[in-house]
Amino acid sequence: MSFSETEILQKALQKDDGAFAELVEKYQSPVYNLCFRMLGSEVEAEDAAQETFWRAYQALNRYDPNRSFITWLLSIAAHHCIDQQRKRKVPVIEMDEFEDFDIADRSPQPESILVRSQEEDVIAEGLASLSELDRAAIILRYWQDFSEEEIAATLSLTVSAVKSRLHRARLQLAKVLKDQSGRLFVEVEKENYGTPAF
Amino acid sequence: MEHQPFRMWLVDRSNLNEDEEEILRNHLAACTECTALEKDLAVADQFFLNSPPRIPREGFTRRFLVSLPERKQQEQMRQVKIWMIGIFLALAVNFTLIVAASIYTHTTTAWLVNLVVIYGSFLAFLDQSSLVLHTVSLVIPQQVWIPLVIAGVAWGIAGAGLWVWTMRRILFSGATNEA
Repeated sequence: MSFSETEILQKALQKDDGAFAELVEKYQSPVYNLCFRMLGSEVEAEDAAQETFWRAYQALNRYDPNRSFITWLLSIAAHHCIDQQRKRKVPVIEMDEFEDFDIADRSPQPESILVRSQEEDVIAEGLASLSELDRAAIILRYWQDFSEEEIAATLSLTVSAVKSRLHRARLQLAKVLKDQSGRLFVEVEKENYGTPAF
Repeated sequence: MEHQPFRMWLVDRSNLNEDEEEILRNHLAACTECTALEKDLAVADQFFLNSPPRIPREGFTRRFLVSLPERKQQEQMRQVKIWMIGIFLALAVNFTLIVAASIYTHTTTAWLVNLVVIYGSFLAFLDQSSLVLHTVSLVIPQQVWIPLVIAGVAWGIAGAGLWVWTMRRILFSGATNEA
């Protein structure tokens, strides 16, 4: 942890809202990314990320300075998202996430945007096929580059449990990606040439 | 061909020792299935590692700071409600236990007798209270105790009113020092 971050944390511990705002500014992206990858919806991810920072704000006096702050923060986010997933009875589908595939909208789009959007779909499908804990573990691995020990600390698991979950998740994601890779190529071709015949 | 433990080793390759790595390489040279899995895993790793993280909409921190006072107030209200429910539950449990202990019997007749006894005790308490007031009225002149009683009753009503107003404010507005 950098010196300035320690200072900011000290100020935040003394209920300095400005100092806490600096922490929010600094860590909003990893927290939001974890929430988005866990929940698959921008609205839910925003709510979950805001809730994560609120919970951290309330529990800041229980934070152990010997522990990494980002690990602690992502632990709150991951547990909150897992709870949300378990509470969720019906999967939420956000219509604005499909705007790139609106049938009525045939205006030309840059290929890169389309590819990016399809890749995001594949990522979402892959992650959705995992259990909540497997998903959290693989997100922390791929997007946070966390070690197995850090993932274990974040998700309150043993290192061997994390290894097992990462193992299962990687195999599953490789399978989904393999199944979807053909579709990715065909979609891009269709967009370029108008019909699948080309 | 046997694919285990090679499939497991492929997923956890970084933890293999030199001998295991050598055995795995030899197996991959002869096994197309495991080679395909190795490729799939590498492609998946590359795909996910290259995916950029999602970032929140502009103004995330501002939205958090704007919501902070409301969240604080809601949390205070929640705590006050829990505290009050706790107090009421404790009082209800105590009252129930006292009444139950007083009237617990095996027969309906004895239960009715106990109920009458409790009522009698209440009447006796009122009786004693009026006796005390009567004695006080004899000792203290009427010109003094009548204003004293009126002041006491007024004080009691004001106190009860203040309590009701405070509880209402705490319940509906939250316990906050902010204006």
